[in-house]
Amino acid sequence: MMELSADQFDKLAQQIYQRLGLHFEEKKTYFLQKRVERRMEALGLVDPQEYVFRLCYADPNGAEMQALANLITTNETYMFREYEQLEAFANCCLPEVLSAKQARGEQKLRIWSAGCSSGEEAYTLAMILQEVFPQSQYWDCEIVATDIDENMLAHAVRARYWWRSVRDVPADYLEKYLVQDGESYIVREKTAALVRFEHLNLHDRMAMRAMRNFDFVFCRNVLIYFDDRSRKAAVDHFYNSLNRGGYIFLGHSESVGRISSAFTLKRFEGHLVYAKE
Amino acid sequence: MTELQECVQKLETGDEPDRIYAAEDIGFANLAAGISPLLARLPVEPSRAVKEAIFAALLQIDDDAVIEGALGLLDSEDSYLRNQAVELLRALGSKTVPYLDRAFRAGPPDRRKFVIDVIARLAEPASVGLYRRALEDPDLNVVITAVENIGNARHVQFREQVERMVTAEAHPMLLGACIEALAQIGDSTSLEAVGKSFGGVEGVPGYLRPSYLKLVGAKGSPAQLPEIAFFSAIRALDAAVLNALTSLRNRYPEMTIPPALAGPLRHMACRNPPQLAYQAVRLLGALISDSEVYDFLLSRLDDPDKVIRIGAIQAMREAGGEGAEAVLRRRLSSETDPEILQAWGGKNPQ
Repeated sequence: MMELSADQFDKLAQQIYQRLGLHFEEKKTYFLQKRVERRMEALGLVDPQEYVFRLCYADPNGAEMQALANLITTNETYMFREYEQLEAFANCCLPEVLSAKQARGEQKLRIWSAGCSSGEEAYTLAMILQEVFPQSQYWDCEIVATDIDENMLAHAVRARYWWRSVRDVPADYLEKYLVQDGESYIVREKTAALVRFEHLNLHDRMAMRAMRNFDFVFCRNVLIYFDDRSRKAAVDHFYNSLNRGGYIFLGHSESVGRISSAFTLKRFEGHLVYAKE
Repeated sequence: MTELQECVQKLETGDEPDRIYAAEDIGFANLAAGISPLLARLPVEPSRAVKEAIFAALLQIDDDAVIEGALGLLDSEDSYLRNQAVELLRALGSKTVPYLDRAFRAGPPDRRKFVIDVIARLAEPASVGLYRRALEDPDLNVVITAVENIGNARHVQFREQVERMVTAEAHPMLLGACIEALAQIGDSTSLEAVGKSFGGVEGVPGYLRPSYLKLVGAKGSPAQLPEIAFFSAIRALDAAVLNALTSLRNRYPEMTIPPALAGPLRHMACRNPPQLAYQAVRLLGALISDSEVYDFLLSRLDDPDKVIRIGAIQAMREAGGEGAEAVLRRRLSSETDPEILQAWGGKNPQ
């Protein structure tokens, strides 16, 4: 059985970070090793050093990196995924943005869930917004959730989910914002009404330009499937779509800073977030 | 006013989003006439976001004037512009080589170094001529950068030349770069050549030992195990020793680890961060017939760090026989963690 040495792990982790913006901690050694093993098997390689070279220096069109990305990322989406990041949003960023708006006498808040798939993230944000900011009902609050896949959007509009999608919803939220209907759960109407679903291709630069005046952009675990150029273009558009003082959230292990240096890194109670200043 | 003129005007006078869109539109139009205004805007543009949009636009324009412009930026005082220019030239690929060649011949040392940075990921044979010249360069930084790239990109045709550069009198930074490069492009003769330069393994200076061990791991054989054992007494070399042993074992799966390494490996498993401790535990599996090692691995099954528990399980499974398997069955019968179960050979989590 092959073993990744520590320096091979470091080199792979560095390469994955540079190319995908995904951060791999040391404790993920075994996780990464098992995925690399599978890729090595598929390529007929026996020495991890050969795989490291292949990925770092002999992958001109990025095909191998994409194959590895497919193994190290999770396609599954569910409510309250990457809870810590949502905590940073709920406890730090959202209150900051809301109080700045209150001070300016504004009563409008816009959030964009980009690449929303079947809508779990958008509804999660709606629940958090209602919980953290009960006055949201008197404000003009809107969560715009977009995806390229019409079928997914149709699923999202139905707001009906199996238990797997709601398995991480805190019990009190489950009771407050969802209602059980047989084996599935339906997002309550008041919460669902905060979310508007739209078809949007993140590669469509003219359509992207129309997305303006958002206070938050969430595009988690989506850009890892883009090539370097498209990823950069999408993040540039997100920058333009945000109001000053707004925040962008990519996936927990994705790094905004790796893709664009336009955002400012801020630290809130141990959470690192990126803002447009 | 033409559409391009309109964009150029917005690039100079618009607000930030307008300037970003103007740059994007110029790139999308793919007109050579847009290159010069984009380049001219870079040094005076205050917004990082706009600068990034300008570089993205330049990448979209299919004209060699982009290469000339990017080469000009290599001499900029602004490190951001220099680095972005390197990235831009890299992204433009092999067509930049004739221009890079000219820039290398005529440029000051800093530019020559940046040119070598640019070709780091270019496939041969386009870059070979430039490397040949860079290895003869009077500036040490240029030579070191070339050696590093040659190793990383595995330009094996430079092996002998790099071997000849390893002499006791060479600059320490260059020596390090050469040995690291030989770990990629060398063979068993490289190991001999390096050893001879220092009058044997004991003569390898302390600062070069991690690189030397990397070379041993990559190009050595089990015959070098006594050398590794020699270095295992030096705590500062724990990571290098573990990496070398792991690499050798990957290349020689049937390799026997000398019993003399049991003690040092146990110490390494206790005094290092989890990733290295895991490696030490995994290697100890080869010495499990030693009762002290067996007891040690058993104790690692309770380690608070999951990766070390996984290492102990794998080590015991692979080498421990039926006795170890029975112990694992007892200890893990109620385990639910998917990675632990996978290590034990049970359910695959994905």
